[in-house]
Amino acid sequence: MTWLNPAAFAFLALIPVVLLLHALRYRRRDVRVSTLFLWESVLREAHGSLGLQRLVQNLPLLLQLLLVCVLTAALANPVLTTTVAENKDIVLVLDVSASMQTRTPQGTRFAQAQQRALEVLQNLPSGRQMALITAGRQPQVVTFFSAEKALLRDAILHVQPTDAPGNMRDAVLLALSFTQGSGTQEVVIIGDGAYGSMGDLDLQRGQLRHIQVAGGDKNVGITRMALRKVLEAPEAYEILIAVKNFSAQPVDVPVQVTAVLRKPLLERRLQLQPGQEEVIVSTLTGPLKGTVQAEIGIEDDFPLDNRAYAAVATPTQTWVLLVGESNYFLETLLTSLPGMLVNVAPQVAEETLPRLLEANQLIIFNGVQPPPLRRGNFLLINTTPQDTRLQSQGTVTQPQVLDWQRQHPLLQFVDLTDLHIEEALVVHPQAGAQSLVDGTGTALLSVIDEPQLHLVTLGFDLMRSDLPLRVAFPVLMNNLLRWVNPQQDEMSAGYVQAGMSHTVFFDKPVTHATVQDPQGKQREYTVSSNPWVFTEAQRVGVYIIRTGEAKHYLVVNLLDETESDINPANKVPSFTPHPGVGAPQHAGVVETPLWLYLLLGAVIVLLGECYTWCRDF
Amino acid sequence: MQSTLFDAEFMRKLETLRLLARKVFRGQGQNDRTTLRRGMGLEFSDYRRYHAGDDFRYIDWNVYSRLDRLFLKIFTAEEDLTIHLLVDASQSMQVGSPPKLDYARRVAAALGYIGLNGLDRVGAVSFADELGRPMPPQRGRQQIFALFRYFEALQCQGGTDLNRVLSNYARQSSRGGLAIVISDLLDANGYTRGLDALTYGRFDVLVIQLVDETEINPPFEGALRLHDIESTTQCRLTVNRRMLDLYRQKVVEYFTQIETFCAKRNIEYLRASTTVPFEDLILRYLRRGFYLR
Repeated sequence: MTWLNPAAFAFLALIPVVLLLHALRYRRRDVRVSTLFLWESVLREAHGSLGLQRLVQNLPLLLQLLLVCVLTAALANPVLTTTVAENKDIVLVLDVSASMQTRTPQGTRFAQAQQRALEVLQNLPSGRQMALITAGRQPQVVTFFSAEKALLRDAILHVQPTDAPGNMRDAVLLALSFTQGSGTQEVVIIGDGAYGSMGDLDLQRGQLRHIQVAGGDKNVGITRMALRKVLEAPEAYEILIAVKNFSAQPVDVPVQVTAVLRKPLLERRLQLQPGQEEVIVSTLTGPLKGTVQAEIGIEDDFPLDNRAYAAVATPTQTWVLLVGESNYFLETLLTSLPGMLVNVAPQVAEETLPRLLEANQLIIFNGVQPPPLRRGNFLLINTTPQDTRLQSQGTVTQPQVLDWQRQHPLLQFVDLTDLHIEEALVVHPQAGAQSLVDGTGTALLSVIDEPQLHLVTLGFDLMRSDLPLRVAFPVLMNNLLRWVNPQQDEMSAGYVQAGMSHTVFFDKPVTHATVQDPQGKQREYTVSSNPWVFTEAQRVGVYIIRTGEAKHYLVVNLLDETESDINPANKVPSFTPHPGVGAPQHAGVVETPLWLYLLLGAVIVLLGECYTWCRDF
Repeated sequence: MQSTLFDAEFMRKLETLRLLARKVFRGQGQNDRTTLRRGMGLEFSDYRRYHAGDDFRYIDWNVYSRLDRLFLKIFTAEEDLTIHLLVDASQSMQVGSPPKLDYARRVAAALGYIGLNGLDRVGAVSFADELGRPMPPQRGRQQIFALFRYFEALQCQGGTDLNRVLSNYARQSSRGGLAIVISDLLDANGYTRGLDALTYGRFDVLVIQLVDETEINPPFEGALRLHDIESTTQCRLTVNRRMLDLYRQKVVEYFTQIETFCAKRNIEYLRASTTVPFEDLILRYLRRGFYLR
């Protein structure tokens, strides 16, 4: 033990002062009594032996002297020094994935992990630092390197497990980037070992230490769930639920699907062998509204995956106006899409355009020059707008597709390899416009993306290319409809996995949105853009986003087989350090301050003094 | 007849009373108390054969006429009672308001007055850790003044040693009788051997324990140094409510212990607080306990 402030021992000089004050103040009153033998028996019974009697009689003085000693010791700031073998800075990676909520006889796995983290912090050598990273869906740096144990302790205690699948791989990579290969730094991972893909990492094992928390092995969970409308029937829905037994014993699992107000829609009972997955596909008939909940009625160690949710999307209608030349492929495609209604017009005057924009979500100009377009959603085929950013500069024959932006929402899953085009307009997008498909000498597909204006220009005639005959055509059109009119299928409901962000599209400009979380708590958000990205869907359940009278359901599920598999016996990566890896280490010293305990002792002594004072007087 | 101990009115009330003893004693002079001796009393006891020299006046002539034998009628002798007043004059008897000794000497004087007035023999002796100067048993009303003077002269001095003084008195006393012990019985060494000595002697014992209210409910609290009034010993303690409760419990236990002891030994026991008016003690409590008639 080391005293960091030995000068405080000067306060021991208060002891004679206390003795003096006691001698001056504490005078006993003299009383003459007939006999003492009764009082002596009282004393014997009250305080036992004579030594104890004296102790009790002098207890206030003894407590005062003890108080002075304890306070002096606290001011001297003693620290308990212990030697530890490791003397390294630590990057602590704490698993906060959903599986850490698994219940064990000692509490949850996460509570165990927190306790281990506090022990690691306790053994952090003096002068060494620690950083804390949580491994949720996205790794998050909670505290950067700090030597302040109180701060680190608070940080550890404030971390909470999420309902989201974990991404330990990225968290470890982030932690390793902190250490930069230094031999005086170490990454400590505390988790349950169910980390998924870690084997491909070329880890420098000398820097890694893994502390596994365990407990809880019984789990049956819903691993998949989907609900969709049957197009042929007006009030019929198809539901898919996959239930898997992750336990080592066979289980009998009741499955129930309920609508709002717990109205039962489907009830099944499954017999699942260890590791077996059973898929239920069923049709639900009748009007459905809001959300649907699937639940397995079993008490297991990981209840988070015992429920899954789905939202019933309200059918919407999308009006499309096709202006110009008739196009068999385009019309056929548009009319085949559910909820799509197509109008055809040979020409559109500039005066009528605002009215048409109100009635149609998308206007397609096929080979005809459009009027000036300032707002709205437009697809221009084989023509260019009256806009200096996308001007036609002639034509080019048999252009080849050089490259296209595969990550753009318009071109997701669109394969344009070997696309044959007989002739195309020569378009060179200026600033404010963007080329998505580059061909030889021209931009084959260009966009102008502004808050009020979504304009897509396809620089060639569909009938003079083989695009309508390729799979890419319906995919491209579907992407286009989603991009220019995202409300079509997103307005009423959304599905995300816990921890993921969700993009909400609003019909009208809004400034505020109210979000009700699965626990029923409501919170106001300021909406600064349309679409608006909601990033706080951290808990499994149904979020309701309200803007005015509009209501949007956001269904958040776990539905992750890796997280549901809470028995990761064969998945724990081996982080055992290789002997000789890293620089040779010297023992470190851990200093544990004791002043707080002494202060606590002083308070107790003070309470004892108060008690004796109250008791005597 | 005036006294500082009590007034003439009270003395007139006392003249109507008589002290009672449970045992039957052999007296010295003739009185109206039944004794073990056969003699010239009024109460018939038995017959016996006539022997030469017997008094003819006690021959039952009716029996002679029927049996033709001489039988003598025997009567129980009626003699006086010796009353021994033993008054505790130790230092502890000066405690209280009024002091317990003042109360004790008035009780003793009253009982002595009743005894002398009833033609019994009355003796008195004070005691502390030793027996004081005794007043030998005297008979006759003329001894009342001497008795009063004796009690008026009593002073508190010395400690208490009940076992020794009562044993000594039982040994020294030549005749038995009714022994009335007036004391606070606050003796750390106990009282049992002393009372046993009186009981095993020829005494019918009446113990009157005098206690002051401050001895039952001490009027002090806090950090104290208690001094034993009869010695130099002292005790430092902090008296709080819990300690007072415990003390009261001990006092009750002690009194119960005395009562139990006296009941086992057939000793009459009366505990009186000095807050009880002295006249009430004599005229009510002692009569209620059949110590007076």
